[in-house]
Amino acid sequence: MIELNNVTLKYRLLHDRSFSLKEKVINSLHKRKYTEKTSEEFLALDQISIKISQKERLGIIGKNGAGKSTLLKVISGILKPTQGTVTVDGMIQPLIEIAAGFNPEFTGRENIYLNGYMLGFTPQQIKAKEAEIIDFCELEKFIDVPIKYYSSGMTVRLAFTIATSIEPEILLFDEMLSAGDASFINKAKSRLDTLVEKAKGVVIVSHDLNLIEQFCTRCLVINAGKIEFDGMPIQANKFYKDHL
Amino acid sequence: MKLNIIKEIKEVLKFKWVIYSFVSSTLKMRYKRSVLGFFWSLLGPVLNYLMVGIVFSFLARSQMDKYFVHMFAGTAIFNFFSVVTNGSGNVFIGNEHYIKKIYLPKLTFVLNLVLMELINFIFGFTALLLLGSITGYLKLSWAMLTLPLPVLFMFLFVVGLSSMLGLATVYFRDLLHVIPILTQALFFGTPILYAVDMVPQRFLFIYKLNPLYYFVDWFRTPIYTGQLPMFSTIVICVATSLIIFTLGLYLLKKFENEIIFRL
Repeated sequence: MIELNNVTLKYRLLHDRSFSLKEKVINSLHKRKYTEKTSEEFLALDQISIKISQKERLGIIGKNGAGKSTLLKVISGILKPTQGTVTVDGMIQPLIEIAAGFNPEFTGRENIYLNGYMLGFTPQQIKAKEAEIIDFCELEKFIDVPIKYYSSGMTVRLAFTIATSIEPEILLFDEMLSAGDASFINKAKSRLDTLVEKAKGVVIVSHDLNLIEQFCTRCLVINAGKIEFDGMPIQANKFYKDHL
Repeated sequence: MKLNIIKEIKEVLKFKWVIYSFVSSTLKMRYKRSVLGFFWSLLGPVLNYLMVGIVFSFLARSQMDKYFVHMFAGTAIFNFFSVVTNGSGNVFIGNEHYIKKIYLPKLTFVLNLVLMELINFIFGFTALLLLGSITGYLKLSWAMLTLPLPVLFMFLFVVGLSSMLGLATVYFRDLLHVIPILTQALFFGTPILYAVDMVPQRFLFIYKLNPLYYFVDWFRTPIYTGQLPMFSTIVICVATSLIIFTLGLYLLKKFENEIIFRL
């Protein structure tokens, strides 16, 4: 179960991120007030309250920059809300993006462990799945090679397999199936189906309206950090096309 | 804001395997493609100490073997401090891709750095200690059994300090360039290459403001003289390290949620 109560996220958007101590000192020596704004407050999420029950599969759609990914990051704990509370019921921490937490210098095998540990697993638990992961992603030959030498397709295959075989209780997907060849995508889709069946909560962010209709039981339309629509995926898609 | 150190440590311990994996893989990586591998962590310092020892024992006109021990013991612990401090500017900036994509307590990144260097230091130092005693330069003594204590408090000290420097660098990137210069200055400002008695009396009070003065003294005395240092030295080290450790954790707690917007 995931519950968000009045979640607001504000942050200062820096226009020029590389301002230095030197500039700061010089500016204050000259008693110069910043004539142009160097930062502005940005309201990424505006009083969002939702409750996602165990068997629900939530889709989130909206334009670029509407706050979809930010919402996902708040649920996963990467971002802490400025106000409001987030309660996520589930022992294992969610993965928002496959290949998040990969270290390109480490080998495929080391990354399996590193990723598993990041999601809260113990060495024994990962060891039990190691063979299955290597088998599914078809990377036996390359598993002890640093992943910086992998092709992007190979990386995606490994990342997807890790993300799905450790079966997190809460699934958060941000544009999950974007690469990999056709045969792998088919294999991946069926694996995703079983995973979704088992999960305690699923949240998917996507621009692919068909995917949302196919996978989700409920859909949010987000615009400028606010929930504009909350309901059935078909109606949400219609609302999105008509209003935004 | 309240800081509960036990809670912070428990939170980071949930991710102990992440730290383990980072540290072991990075250590393996460091020497992977070199012919001599891990042996470099021994050979590098040996050559370094030889070089410095030969030059400075000549300059200082002191007895070579005595000088070696003095210099080696001080440099070893100081190097642990300086590699960690020099790396601390990058603990958050350099881990941007993790911080933005997955939740990990920010202290994890600090511990990755400090523990990796700690292990490197312990291995390198122990090997040199054995080498020194075999070749007869060093006399092993019972007092050396207390050496883990200064290392432990040095560890707490650098964890706190790196947390602060890492945070500060997120806001002021210039620190990336400033920190190595400051540690270098601190190295020369600590009696390592020269003895404390060579410092003019009127400057001694400046030396005594430097926490590294005490840490080096605590660590070096058992090796150099086979005795324990003055009690006041130990008290100052323990107090400093606990204060810096707590302050570092407090500031980290206070600002950790802002880091992500500044990367």
